[in-house]
Amino acid sequence: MKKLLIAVIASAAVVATAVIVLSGDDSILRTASITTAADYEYEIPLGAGERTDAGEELNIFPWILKVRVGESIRIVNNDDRDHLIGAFFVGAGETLTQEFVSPGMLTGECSIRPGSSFTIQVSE
Amino acid sequence: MTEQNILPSRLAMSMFLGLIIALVPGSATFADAPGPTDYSSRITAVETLDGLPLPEGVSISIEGHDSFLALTVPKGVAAEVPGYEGESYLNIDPDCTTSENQRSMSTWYNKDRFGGETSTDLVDNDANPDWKIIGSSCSVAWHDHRIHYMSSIPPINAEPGDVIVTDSIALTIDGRDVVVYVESELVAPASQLPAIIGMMMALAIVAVMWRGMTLALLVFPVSAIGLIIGGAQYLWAPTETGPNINVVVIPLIAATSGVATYVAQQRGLLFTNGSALLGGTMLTIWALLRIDVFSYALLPTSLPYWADRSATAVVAVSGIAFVSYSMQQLWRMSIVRPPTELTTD
Repeated sequence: MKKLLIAVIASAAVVATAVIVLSGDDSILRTASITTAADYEYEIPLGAGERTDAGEELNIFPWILKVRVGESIRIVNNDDRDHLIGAFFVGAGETLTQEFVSPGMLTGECSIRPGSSFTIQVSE
Repeated sequence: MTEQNILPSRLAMSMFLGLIIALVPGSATFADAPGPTDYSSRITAVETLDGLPLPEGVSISIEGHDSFLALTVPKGVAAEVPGYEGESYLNIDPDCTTSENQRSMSTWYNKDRFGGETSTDLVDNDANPDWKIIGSSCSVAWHDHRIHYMSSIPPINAEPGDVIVTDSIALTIDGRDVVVYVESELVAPASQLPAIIGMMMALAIVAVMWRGMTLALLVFPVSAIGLIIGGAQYLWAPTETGPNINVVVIPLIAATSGVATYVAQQRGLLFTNGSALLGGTMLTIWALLRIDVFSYALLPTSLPYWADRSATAVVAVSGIAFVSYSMQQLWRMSIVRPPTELTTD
């Protein structure tokens, strides 16, 4: 009976571990919300989406932004549509403020500049 | 040769053959079949630049929730899908032959859901196309990266219901310019409750049957569950998207092992436990292949998601239990000493 219990518990542990590991957050960078002034501030103006649709290139964000742990970024979206800015999603009329709390790299597409990406490198 | 001596070789042979059979079909499948995802993509509009309707029988759809863009045209209608830089990428000829330009960057970039394969010596978007025939069904499906978010980690600050991707794809159908407008939405995360219930149920059944030394008899019914779940996944995706046959073949091997455990009861514990070991191994591999069903919201199946998740949990727990149980039994057999003769003075 003791062996049976050990085997059952071991099986459950293996499955649970697999589920937790494979469903866990595997991002290499954590961020935290802040309310004070940010080190890097960007504003998406009203009509930015339409201007992008029309083929205009808006140089609001750099391709690569190098920051340090403890610094922060604020993106104010004054446009009437949602935008994907690298690894961040900023809804229409929303403001996103994040502090970088660990080193790593965040990258993703940039809807302000179709076909391009916005990468943030965070170092100690 | 004693039963104990042939034990390792027969077990090894069984496991080896099982793995070969399981892995061979994998090489014949397309790369990166539709899998679980957190995004739902949809076509919001299809417009022709001349304003006229598309020919009857033309179908443009998103398959695999957010994975593939699929195009089907009727026989006699030609279609072209340009690559990301406007180069020749995919063609459907009027006789239904479909071909892919091996010189196009898009051919390689679109092999994978996340665009992992990009560097190859063949790529030259400016070179004359090198067409490779890939089918004859008047249908093509491809990982168009404009229809989905290109990371398995949702963007920071995004919430379920947010439209993450909005884009358009240009096509040429019957010589006319067509634009397909798409968007992709983040959906709510999956509930873990079905998986937990399935796990608990399986643990209870396994515990009872282990105690009664009849656990090997469960290999077939559990394999049948895996076969149903795998079959539903395989049949759910269109052929053009290359559904993975391994999700069916692996539980089929396990089911065969399950039948063998019944038959093998006549031949002794060695065969029964050997078959259970093979079946358990196959089921464990199958569950590991499908482990993403526990962490993503949308699953590649026509079955209710709760059924898929709970059944996968049952198979995972049972598979591990079959392996543990059969190895324990085989180990016990291997340490049994032959009876010694009693001698009397």
